[in-house]
Amino acid sequence: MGEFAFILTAAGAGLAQVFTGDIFPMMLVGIFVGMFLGLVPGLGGLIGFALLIPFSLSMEPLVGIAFLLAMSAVTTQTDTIPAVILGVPGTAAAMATSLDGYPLAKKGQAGRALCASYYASIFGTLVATALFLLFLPILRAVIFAFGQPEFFMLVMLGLILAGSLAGNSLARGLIMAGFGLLLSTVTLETSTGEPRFAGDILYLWEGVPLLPVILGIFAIPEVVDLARRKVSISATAYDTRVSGLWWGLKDCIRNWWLIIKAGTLGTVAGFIPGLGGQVAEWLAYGSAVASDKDPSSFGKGNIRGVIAPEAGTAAQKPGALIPTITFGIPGNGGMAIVLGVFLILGLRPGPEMVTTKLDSTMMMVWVIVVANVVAAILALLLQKWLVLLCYLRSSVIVPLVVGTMMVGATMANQSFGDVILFFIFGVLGYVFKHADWPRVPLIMGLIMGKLAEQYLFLSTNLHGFKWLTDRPIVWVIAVVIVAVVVVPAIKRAWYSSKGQQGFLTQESTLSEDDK
Amino acid sequence: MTSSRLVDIVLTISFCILSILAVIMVNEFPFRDKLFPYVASAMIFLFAIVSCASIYADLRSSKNAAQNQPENRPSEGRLGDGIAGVHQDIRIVLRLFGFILLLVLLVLLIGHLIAIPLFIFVYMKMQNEPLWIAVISAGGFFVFTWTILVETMNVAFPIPYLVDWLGL
Repeated sequence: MGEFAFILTAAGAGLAQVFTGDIFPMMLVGIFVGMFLGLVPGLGGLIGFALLIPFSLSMEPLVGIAFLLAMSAVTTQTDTIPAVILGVPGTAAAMATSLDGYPLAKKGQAGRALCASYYASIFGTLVATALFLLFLPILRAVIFAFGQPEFFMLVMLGLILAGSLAGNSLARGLIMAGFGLLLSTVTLETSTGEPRFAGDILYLWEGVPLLPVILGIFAIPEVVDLARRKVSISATAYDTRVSGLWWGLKDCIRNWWLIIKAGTLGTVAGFIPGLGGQVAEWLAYGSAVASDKDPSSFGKGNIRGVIAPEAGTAAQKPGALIPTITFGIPGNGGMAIVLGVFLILGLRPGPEMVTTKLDSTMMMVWVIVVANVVAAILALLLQKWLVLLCYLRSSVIVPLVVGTMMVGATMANQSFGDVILFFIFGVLGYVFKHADWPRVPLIMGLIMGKLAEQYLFLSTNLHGFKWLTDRPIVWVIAVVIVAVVVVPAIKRAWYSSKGQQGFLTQESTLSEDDK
Repeated sequence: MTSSRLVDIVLTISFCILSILAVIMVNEFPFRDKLFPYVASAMIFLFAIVSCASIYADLRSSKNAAQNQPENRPSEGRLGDGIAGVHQDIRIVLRLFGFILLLVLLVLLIGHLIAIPLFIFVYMKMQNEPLWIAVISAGGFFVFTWTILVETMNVAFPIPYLVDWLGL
């Protein structure tokens, strides 16, 4: 009982923190930016992170994190507006929603679909929060059993999971994760005073800076593609009326079990590094189709086809946040960036986040829930005008985004080295994106590399190499790592010998775009 | 061989070489400083070898498939059109990267505050946006950067090389 009382008190304190004068106003700014990014096809959460990190670094740590999380939480909510009204998903995470949302709009029920999607997002995040609170005692017990060796193995497991699930090829994903780890080792070694991989370039003596790399590798390829495709929506809206407020709510209440199922699937998908928004969305959509009495009605305007993916995608965000702040293992690319900011701002993932700083952890989870509620209210109030943003031309968006990125890349170190690194990684990012070499494991490796090296150093320093043989949890994690690497390879060989393609192979192609 | 396959081969070999170079470069370091780079390099090397093997297997299987179906030719006109489309795409992408490179050089030369609004204006005009949109966007960006970043957040942008050279 004492444990639950402590958790509930921390949950209450966390919720109260959200509404303090420091956090709430910046959260609102994050929400507005996130809503804009979700609406404009081709942009999305990762570009949002890239653009907002420089500003978040000048804030108080928790305010900066709340600012980023609020932005990220709502991109997958407003992306529903173009998906439903125009049939064009704002981000890749709204593809499943558009399958049934757009037919509903054609029937004149756009308001119902949008309202149902907003409520489903809110309920989805609440399901994820409830699951977090429910499993927190177990999580706390697990985290207390871990020492440096276990944390090192966990970081490696997270990286290998991300490398194996983000993309089509296991080997490519793991090479990219290794490349990220290697980049994280560029620094001036304090023990010898010798630069390690940095040569005479003073700029690199403090390590490869995160910000220009993230901006280059994620944002430049997206912006170049946006400019190349000249995305501007020519479709006309069927129905932009703000209606169906109660109808959508009734739909959600009627399908409460579906929301719990989709929310649980989304939370689990978020928790596993390398999966992410799209997988959560399609898993939830699949479960809705599988459990429906009339599966043939999907794709023709079944409201359950809107509710399930929205609940799943929304629940994925808190799901991905949990391993990020407790174990230092980001659930997806966006959370890898949050972890990077976390470390830059001087916060440290680990046992503290579920003990003395549990209220701060809960604050972050609540930020995602509250951001969804606020964004739903704003979307309902401003829907008619928000639709107009979908028509923004790429020739207007591209130079403004490139300019903001250029400023953002320079803000942390205020050095021209940032500008050059930003361009180099932009070119690399474009090649990686189009050659289907996943970029998320690279960034995760770069961010987690420093943590992993510290854990490895402390493990060998404290236990020699005995930590490899004497600790059962290390063995368990090692077995899981081997299974993660070997099992998909065996499965693939099995399927290719039978001339089929495995489910995971199909699913994994969807995982990188927008998280 | 498709271009994406070629890129795969180049990247795999590059990563393989990178991992070997990394091991050589840290060889002289004390054990604690070279342990982690060794782990990362081993990971890259191992999976680069796996990737090489998989590319080789794919190439062999596609070669066998091509030998078994010699009469299988692309339909008339389509291939040429596709290549033209790809070439046009590559040209557009190169031009866009050229624009970004130009912006990088401009930023180094004349600084963020002037280079970026100038870039925004020129890009929009080249894309046939109306003059008023280009002016408002470029001006708005300058005002935002100056008031929010420089004046309020005290961001000190690096001094551009031109200012340095001219001793201003």
